[in-house]
Amino acid sequence: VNDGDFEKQLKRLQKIVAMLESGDVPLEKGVALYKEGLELAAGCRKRLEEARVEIGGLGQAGLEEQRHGDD
Amino acid sequence: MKARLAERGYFALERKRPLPAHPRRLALVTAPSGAAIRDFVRIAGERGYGCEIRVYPTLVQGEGAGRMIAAAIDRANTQGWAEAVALIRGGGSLEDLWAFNTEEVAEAVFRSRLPVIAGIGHEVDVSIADLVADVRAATPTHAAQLLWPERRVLVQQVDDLETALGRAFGAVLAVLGSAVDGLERNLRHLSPAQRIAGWAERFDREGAGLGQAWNRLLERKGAGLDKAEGALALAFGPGRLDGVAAETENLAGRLGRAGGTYVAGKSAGLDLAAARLAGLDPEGPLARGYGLVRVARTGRFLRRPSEVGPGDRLDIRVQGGHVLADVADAAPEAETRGERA
Repeated sequence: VNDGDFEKQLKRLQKIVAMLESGDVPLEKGVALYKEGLELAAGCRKRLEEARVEIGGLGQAGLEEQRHGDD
Repeated sequence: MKARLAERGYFALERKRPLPAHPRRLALVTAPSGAAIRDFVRIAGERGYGCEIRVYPTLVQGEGAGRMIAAAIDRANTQGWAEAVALIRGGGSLEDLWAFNTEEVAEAVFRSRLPVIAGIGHEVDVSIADLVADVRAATPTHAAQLLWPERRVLVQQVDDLETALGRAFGAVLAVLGSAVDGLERNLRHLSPAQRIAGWAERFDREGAGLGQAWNRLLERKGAGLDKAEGALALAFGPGRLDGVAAETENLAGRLGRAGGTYVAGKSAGLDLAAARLAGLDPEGPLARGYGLVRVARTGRFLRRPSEVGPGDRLDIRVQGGHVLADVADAAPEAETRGERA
């Protein structure tokens, strides 16, 4: 699960924002960075929306027990 | 035992390791059923951006539980798949939690290469395992909260970054926009349209100048032509011809007069010469008794006695005719004079 690296994407997005905020970016590069940033933000958001936990190591019985376990 | 473990540095803060910020692979050492694992998994599912949890099931109380827990921790380390180990157990009596106070569990936690977070019992419960673990959570739920950040916070972080991205890009565009405005203003001066307009204007101006120059040239040539024509008229025009004719007449008159004068002069000279010639007329002296003696033999005038001898016939021209005479004697002047005398 989550083979894409959320944190890496987030860091890249932070770096892009910092680069654009520095103001020292040519237009073409700025546009490319902005586009990349938007894609990263969308990717991160999608990641968060689809985030889930995968459980392993229990076996079928264990899973059943975990799901319908006694309270 | 606690004092002995402390002496060995089991609780030392300096050996506590930080947990990964967001473990994506977690080894969960706990009972495979019950509230603890259920709560932990539920909270994990609500937080972070997703992860994998591998359960290392174990007894958490009763006979042999401590050994099983230690073995599970060791197995997680041996497998090396996880980034961290979570050791949890739901609330219970002190008796129930006894396994987590055993030395074997403490040693397993202590020797774990993977950082260990422990969430055992309720908030008030503190086990030896809690103290040896790198991070101590109050409860299983709390352990999950410490392991993964709130998803809401992550969403907010992404939203904030996206907002900052838009703002930063807007600022870049604004800066570049003003730069472009400046460049555009500068460019307007250099634009082909502007230059062509400038050229057109200059072309018009030069064209007008050329026209004017042409007209001036024509005027000047015209004036020159007039002047040449005037000069020509002056040189060869009727007036000039009249003048030439008059001059010619004048010259002719002068020539005539000069000729007359010359001829008159010459005539006078001739008269004079004739008069003078008259004086040399050999006939003249004849009238006065002189005679011209010519030797008949030679035909020459006789000038000296030596030119003749006895026997020579002399032709003597006198006024009115010839006299032929023969020479008796011819002698120089002294002899004759003497003879005469």
